[in-house]
Amino acid sequence: MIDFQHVSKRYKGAERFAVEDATFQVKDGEFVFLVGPSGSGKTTIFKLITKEEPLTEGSIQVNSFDLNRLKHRRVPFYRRTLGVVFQDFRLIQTKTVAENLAFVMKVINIDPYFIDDRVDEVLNWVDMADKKQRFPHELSGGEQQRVSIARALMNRPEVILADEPTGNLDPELSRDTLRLFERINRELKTTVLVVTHEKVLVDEMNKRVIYLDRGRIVGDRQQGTYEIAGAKGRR
Amino acid sequence: MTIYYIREGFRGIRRHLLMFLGSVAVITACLTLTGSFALLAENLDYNIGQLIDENEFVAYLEDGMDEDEAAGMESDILAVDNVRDAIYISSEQAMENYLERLEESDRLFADLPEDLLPARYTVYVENIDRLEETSQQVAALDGVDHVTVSLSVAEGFSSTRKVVVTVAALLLAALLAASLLVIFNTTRLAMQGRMEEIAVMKIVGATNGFVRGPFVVEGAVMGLVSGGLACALERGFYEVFQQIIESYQLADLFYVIPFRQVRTIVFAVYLGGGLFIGIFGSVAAIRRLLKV
Ligand SMILES: Nc1ncnc2c1ncn2[C@@H]1O[C@H](COP(=O)(O)OP(=O)(O)OP(=O)(O)O)[C@@H](O)[C@H]1O
Ligand SMILES: [Mg+2]
Repeated sequence: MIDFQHVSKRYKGAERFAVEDATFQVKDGEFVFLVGPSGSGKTTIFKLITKEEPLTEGSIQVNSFDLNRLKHRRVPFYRRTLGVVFQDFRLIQTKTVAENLAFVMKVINIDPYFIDDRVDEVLNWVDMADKKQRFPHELSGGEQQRVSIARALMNRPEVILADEPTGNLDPELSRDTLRLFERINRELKTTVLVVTHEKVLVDEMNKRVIYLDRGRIVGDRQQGTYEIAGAKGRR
Repeated sequence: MTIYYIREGFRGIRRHLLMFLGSVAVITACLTLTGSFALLAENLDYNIGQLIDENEFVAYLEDGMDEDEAAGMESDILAVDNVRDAIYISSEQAMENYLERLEESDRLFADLPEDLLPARYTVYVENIDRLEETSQQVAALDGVDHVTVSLSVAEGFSSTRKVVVTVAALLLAALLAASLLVIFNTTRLAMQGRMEEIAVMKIVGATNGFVRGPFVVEGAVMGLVSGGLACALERGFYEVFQQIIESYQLADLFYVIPFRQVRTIVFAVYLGGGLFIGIFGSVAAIRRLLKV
């Protein structure tokens, strides 16, 4: 569960709040879109969840972790329960697909004995097993994003955070990618939060949508559409 | 885990071998320079210590003093401040000592009158820094004709030593800073090439120690290699120094401590110093990065 209680965030030196008095909950196994205009605070919310940024006010609870009380030393262990996907994939260019996946298990000290099987398992799951030995630059954008999603799945996260995962993809691939998140949510029971600007896809997927505007939560619809006005009008 | 650090550390070194070698060269130079000055100071110290042990002065008594009067001077001399001891040497004794020192062939002086050399006292002082002053006080005593003090060599060494020690201390500070800076920058550059990797590591939950590990290994290896090279260089330099002293026939005047005697400490300081610089410099370089 992700529980935000009156969370505000002001960046150092900034005049206004990037996130202001945000309160919302996401239950285990939910799928949520986070939408809003540029600069409305979507990425900031993710950075608060990953504890890349400290919050200014309020409290955040993620699963059993109270982020206000989480000690600096414990942060890495908390992050192992999250899977993060970026718009720009962030694959390591000098490593093959398989090495990129193995890397994230290696750096949290998992016995190499378990790693190879897990790499194969996850690559099969995202249907990329045949590209195992390729380097990132030998893959299409959609394939790279699938690898980066596979990487986020490696450590069996309880929550997946995807910040504009389709931002660099054409519409057809965007649909596939969002469908992949839906499948992860459905089959692996992983909680999924996706920030996106894909109006059409949000509209057609009928998921919960949280609307942000200038740092404030201005709407939260169970089977929402991209435009908050549209959502209101429909129901 | 440790194996991972070591493998990644060496992989990093291979990736920017030239930068690594450049840094090693600078650190080696810094270590060797500092160490050489410290060794020079140590040698000077040793030699000054030797000279100071011999530091004493001779107070010559006025002519025509009889034996009893001369022996009686002892209490007057001992009463002077800073005098530790005074040994009486009679006229005959002085001649005997003198003759003893002559080569067989120079025995033509053998039949000099026994009382040619004046009776004297060898005076030892408490505090060597006041030798000059004390000798003046003794010279002023009734019955003392004059004194001779052989300070010049010791003073020469002493002032050289002051310069050398000052230079060594300044070098130590400056070159330590330079070495740390070199490691710091090298680590920073190495990091820059791996930012994306580090970002991924952090976001998937690698501990700070884990992110730091390979860089610390890299820094430590850099420091140790530099220390090792400095050891080898120092050994060579020291030999050259020794040969120079010998070739100028200065060996009587200046005793060079054998390298054997300083080897352990030199090697320990170079390797330990290198290791310290390497670890400290690289840890400092990645500190800020690990804040997030
Ligand atoms: N590191 C930072 N320092 C200062 N201000 C920041 C920083 N990061 C973001 N901001 C500000 O915080 C606000 C919210 O930014 P955020 O990145 O969360 O927006 P966003 O909703 O993700 O926008 P986009 O859709 O363009 O990605 C913006 O006004 C932005 O300028
Ligand atoms: Mg953003």
